[in-house]
Amino acid sequence: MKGYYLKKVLSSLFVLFIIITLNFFLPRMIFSDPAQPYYVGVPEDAYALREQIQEEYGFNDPLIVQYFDYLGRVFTLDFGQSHYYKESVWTVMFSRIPWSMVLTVSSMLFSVLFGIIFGAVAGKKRDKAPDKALMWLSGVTTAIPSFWLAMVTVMLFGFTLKIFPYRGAMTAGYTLSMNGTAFLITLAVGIVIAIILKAITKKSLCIFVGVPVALTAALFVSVPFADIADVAYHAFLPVAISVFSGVISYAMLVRNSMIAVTNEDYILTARAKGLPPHVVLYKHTFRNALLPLITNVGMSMAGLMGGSVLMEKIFSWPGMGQLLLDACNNGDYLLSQSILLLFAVITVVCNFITDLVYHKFDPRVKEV
Amino acid sequence: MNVLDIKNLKILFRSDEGFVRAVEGVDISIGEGEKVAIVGESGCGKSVTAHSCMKLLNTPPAYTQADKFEFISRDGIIHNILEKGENEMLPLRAEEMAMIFQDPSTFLNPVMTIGEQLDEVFIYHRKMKPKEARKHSLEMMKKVGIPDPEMRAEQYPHELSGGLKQRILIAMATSLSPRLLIADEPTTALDVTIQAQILELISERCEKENMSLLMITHDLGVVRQMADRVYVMYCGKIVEQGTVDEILSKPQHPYTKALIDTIPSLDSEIDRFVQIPHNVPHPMNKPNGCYFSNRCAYCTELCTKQMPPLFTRENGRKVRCHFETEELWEK
Repeated sequence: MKGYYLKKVLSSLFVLFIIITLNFFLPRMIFSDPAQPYYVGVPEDAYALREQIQEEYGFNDPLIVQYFDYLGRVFTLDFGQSHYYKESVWTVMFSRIPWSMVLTVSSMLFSVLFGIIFGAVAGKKRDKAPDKALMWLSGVTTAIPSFWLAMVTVMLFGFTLKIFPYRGAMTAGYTLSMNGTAFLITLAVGIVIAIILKAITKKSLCIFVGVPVALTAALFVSVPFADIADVAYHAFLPVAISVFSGVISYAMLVRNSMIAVTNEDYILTARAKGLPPHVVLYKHTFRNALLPLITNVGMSMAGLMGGSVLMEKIFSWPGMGQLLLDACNNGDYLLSQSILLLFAVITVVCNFITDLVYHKFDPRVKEV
Repeated sequence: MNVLDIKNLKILFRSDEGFVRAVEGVDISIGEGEKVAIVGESGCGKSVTAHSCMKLLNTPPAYTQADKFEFISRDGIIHNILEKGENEMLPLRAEEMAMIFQDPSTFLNPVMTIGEQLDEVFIYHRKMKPKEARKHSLEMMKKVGIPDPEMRAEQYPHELSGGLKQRILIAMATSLSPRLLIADEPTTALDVTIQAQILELISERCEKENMSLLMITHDLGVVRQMADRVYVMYCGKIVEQGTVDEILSKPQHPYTKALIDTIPSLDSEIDRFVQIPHNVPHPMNKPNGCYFSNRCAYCTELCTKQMPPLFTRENGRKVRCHFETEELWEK
């Protein structure tokens, strides 16, 4: 058991190292002169001054020296100043992360939830009306690009009907007020309760359910309801579009895996035991059919972070995707590099968590 | 009194090319405490027949019809299996008839512990609380000879050997001491050394709990060890039936004789294994006349034109062949 976790941690660290290396070299192949953003106000022909600036920021050192310098800074978590925002990269990123989370987590949650429901219904009634509807919808949603759908909905619900807001995460002029201490205390109390419950009932389900519940409770305690409602109102369109284009792939996954598991031999055993159909369905078929979904959710969790760039741009959502786009446009080297690194870390962490969770649901994985 | 009484059973499968006749008019009866075997090559319809007894075939693609399909439970009630819906079958399964399957590695749920899977039978049939059910499960595991049942109950199927898994399936099937136990090639996927133990366990369980046994197999050795009476099936039809001793010592149908001849003997010196020529015909493309005619060493013109009926011979034996034994073996 211990060996399994150790192996996973070590392989994750190795992946991170490769990512950091790529993250260093790739941008240096894209930008012609990395010192470009620092020349603001420097005349075109002041070559000596430019040389001096390059020297000052260390861009003239051999690449390998710069690389180790960068490695050192990554390990001390020093990402420097964003020259565009005139603030530390950390501050800029952390002001955006929660906004991205609002979109990502809620799209993910609703896609998976509806995906499971649609998929289960279609899988159970194979070749009947619900299944055929799912097949047809799958064609429709794959054919419609989400950015196009986003623009159409902005036109329709934003400009023409004026039902939903289409710019920003809150009504102009408002800012989110959040009681940090209340948030942390509620979260801590919630997690402790979950752990105690797990110790009593010996079911790891307590943790899986308890932590998200604690998080939600903490949010509602620390943020005024009016603010939450305002954000939810603004998030409705982007989330609805993400769900629309994401839900069918989950539903198809669940459907196919339901059908595959229904034909497994152990389902025959369960039926031969004289178990009622709903027990065979939920206890035997469903539990096995959801295994591929866990892998899939873990992988797309990471993908959604970067994938929401389009949604954030169209809805002017102040999230990480928008920030990355701006950083690239402004040549804000340190910022873009750090965002990419953060995405990579999130991916690796999500994969790690997926492995751990998978291991809880499929005991066969232990031996790996 | 009979436990199972089937007359003229037909099972069709719908496929893209049309209906496949998997079973064509089979009569089977099993007496109380009797051990009956169905023997045949792969694809002759023996497994399908067994599954139809518990109504485990899905419709579509499978369609079952019969003139009579009766199961008589311990309290003497006659159940007409064909007229029962899925929900009416539930109390019969495991309680009155149970099944042991071919490959123990795929017939246990990989994400549930052994204990959970055994408990279910008691929880859903006897309405027991999980703790009480577990007590019964552990007892059952002891009865089928599993060492250290407490530890095994917490393990998952992949942590057990094939032989142990088959013992678990036997425990599962016999835990409510059903009236009829159906064993669908229970030793096919096991090592030869384990096979004998498992067969012994099955007959021991049958005798102790007074269960009738329907053994599905392609192994004549298993038949000799386990059965009182045997049905030989070929291409969805019964070609010969009788007591085990008579059929194995004096086969009357060319197919039975050919099957017995394929068993390598320790006494005779042979270089090659004896084979029955050609393969079992595809169920969509069975030969005219007798289905065995294209592989039969004694085939005549009559055989290729007319399907012989199931003739009754002396001692209640039944043989589906145009010719009497003596005239056959003389040819």
